[in-house]
Amino acid sequence: MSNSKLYKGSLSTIILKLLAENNKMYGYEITQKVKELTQGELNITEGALYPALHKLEAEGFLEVEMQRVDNRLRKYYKLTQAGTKEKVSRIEELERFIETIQGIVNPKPSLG
Amino acid sequence: MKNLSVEQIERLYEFTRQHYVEYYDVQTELVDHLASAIEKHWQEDPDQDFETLLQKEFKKFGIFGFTDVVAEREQAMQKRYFQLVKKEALEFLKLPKVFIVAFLVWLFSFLLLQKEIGFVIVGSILVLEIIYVFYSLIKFHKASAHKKKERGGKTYLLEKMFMNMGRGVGGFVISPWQWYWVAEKTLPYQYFAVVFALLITFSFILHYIVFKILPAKKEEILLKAYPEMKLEKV
Repeated sequence: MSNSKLYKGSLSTIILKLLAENNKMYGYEITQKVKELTQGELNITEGALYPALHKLEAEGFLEVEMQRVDNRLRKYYKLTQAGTKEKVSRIEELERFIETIQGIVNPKPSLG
Repeated sequence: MKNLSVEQIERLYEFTRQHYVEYYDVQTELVDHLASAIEKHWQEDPDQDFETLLQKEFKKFGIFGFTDVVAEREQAMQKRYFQLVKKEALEFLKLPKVFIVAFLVWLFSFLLLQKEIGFVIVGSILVLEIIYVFYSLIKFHKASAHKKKERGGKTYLLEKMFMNMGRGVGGFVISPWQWYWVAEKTLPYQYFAVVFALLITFSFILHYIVFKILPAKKEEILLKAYPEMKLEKV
C-alpha cells in the first residue's frame, strides 16, 4: 500500500493484536508477520514501528523480556494486563471506524 | 543458516553509535533488528555482502535514520521517570508523611508572617537548598560517570534521565523566588505567605524525591526497565 497515512493511526492496534495472538514478539518479527499476513500489502516501516512499540511500553501496555539469541541480545515484547484490556477496546474502536468508513465509501441504498 | 559473527555484531553496535544512537539499550534493539534482517537476506543468498546489506536495511529507517527511534525512546523514558516521581510524590499526601508536609507548610507560613526576621530565616534555608541541589548534581554526575566506566562505556537512557531530570528539577529551586515577585504584588500578605510556603515545601519534596529517594532505588528501577542488565552480568 503506497499511502502509509491510512494505517499509521492503526499501527499500535495492529501491534497489540499481534502480541495478543503470539504471546511475545521482537521488533523484526512484527514487521515480517505483518508483511506475511497482508501478503506484502502492508509494509510497516522500521522508523514507525519502534517509536510505536516504545510508546506502548511507556504507557504500560507492554512489558519486555530479554533473551540471548546466538551472539546477541533480543528484546521481546509482551502484553501486560492493561495491554490486554487496551487491545479489546482499540479493536472495537477500529472495527467501528472501518464500518463508518464503509458507510461513506460504500453507502447502502436507502429504502425511503 | 548463516549467522552474524561476533565481529559483525560489534560492527553493528559501532554503526548505531556512528548514527547518533548514544544509549546502549536502544543500540541493542537496533542491532538485533539489523542482524535479523541481514540473516534473512542470507537465507536467500548467503553470498551477499554484509556491508551492502547493512546499508540497504538502514535505508528502510527513512531519511532521518535512527533519529525518530531515539527521540521517541527518550520521550517514553521521560514519561516513565515522571511516573516514578509522581508515585513518590503521592506518598507525601498519605499518612504519615502528610504530617511532615503540613508541618513544613505551617512552619514556612509562620516564619513568613514574622516578616523581616522570618524572611531572613526562610531566605537562608532556600540558599542552603540551592547549595544542596548543586552538591547533589555534582555527586550525581560523578556517580554516573563512574557507573558508565564500570559498565564498559555503556549508557542506559533511563539512567541518563536521572541526571537530566535532576538538572531540570534542580532548576525548580529558583521557582519560588520567581513567584515571590508576582505573588507579593497580587495577593494580600497572609495569602501570599501560605502560597509561598506551599511552593517552598513542594520544591523541597521534589528535590528530596529526585536526589534522595529515587537514586537509592536506582539499581532496582534500572533492572526492572532493562532486564538485559541481568544477562550482561552473567
